[in-house]
Amino acid sequence: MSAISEGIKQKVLDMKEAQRYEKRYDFTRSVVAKKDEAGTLSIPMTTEGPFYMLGYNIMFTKNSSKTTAGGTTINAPFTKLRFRAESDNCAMSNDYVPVELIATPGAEDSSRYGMREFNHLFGKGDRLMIDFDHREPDALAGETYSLEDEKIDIVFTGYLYPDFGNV
Amino acid sequence: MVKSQTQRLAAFLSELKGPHGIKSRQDQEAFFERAKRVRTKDYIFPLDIHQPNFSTAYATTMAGWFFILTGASVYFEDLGAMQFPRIAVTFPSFVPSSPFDAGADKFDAVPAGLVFGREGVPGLHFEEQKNLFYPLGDAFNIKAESYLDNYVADARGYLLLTGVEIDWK
Repeated sequence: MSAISEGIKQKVLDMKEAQRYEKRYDFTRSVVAKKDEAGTLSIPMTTEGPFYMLGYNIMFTKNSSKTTAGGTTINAPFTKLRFRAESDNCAMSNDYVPVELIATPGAEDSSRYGMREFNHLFGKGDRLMIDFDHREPDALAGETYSLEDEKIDIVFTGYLYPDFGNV
Repeated sequence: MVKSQTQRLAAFLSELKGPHGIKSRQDQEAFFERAKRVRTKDYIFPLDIHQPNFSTAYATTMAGWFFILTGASVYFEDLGAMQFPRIAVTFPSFVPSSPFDAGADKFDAVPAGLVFGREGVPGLHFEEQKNLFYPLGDAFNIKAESYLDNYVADARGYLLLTGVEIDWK
């Protein structure tokens, strides 16, 4: 066997046995934000190994609506989110962020193009904590709100390091 | 020429490099150590505009973590067709410059539609601006202001500053 083939064989064995490689991984969750509710969802990450998040995509519904001071009724999501990892308990934002600001540009229920870049390392067996707030906002003068349940789909994209252990 | 299976595998393996490839355990540990200490962070500033047509919000970056501002997004609800928000971001008592200018007069603040504009008003929802680079520090005060031209009613807006925070420990 040639030296090249031996080199390839060694690399493949290294990948297989030592598991010192990485693979792309989409970690997805759907959340139903119940109207007038706020709370925290605790979601187990994969136990296969550490997950290095590179970014995320979010889709959401706009079942809720508001009527502006001028009498116009428009759909709006109202939902706010905050992500954090259980292990370091460090939120990825200082406060709740309106889902519209970090999610799909464009129309309701549309799929997002691209990915919102966001780096964060989750250790093996860590838990993703999603804080959500879907309550009526402080009213602006003349506005009224009608809240409904909203469905939010999130895909966290990154690299998974199988069997690396707990980082 | 059709590549052999071995050649295709060799090409694939040769592309495995850097943090994305086969590394020694020591190298990967170093990679994870860096990943634990360098992460993205958002700071959200609510900008509810009431009379007299401006709003101010503050945030303080995390103590012990050096913060570098690298991007920003903004969106406003409730805007009328002829209402144009202006945005200013300053760092009180430290850095004299700012990513979105705030001069002596409120009209020195940058028009949001020009800085972030993709869709325009009303119902602004802007793309993230990524050409910022402001190494600030830890426990750093940030002041965000917004002004609304042609105020006719209250408006709700948000400014999202995004950056990288680094643990120096």
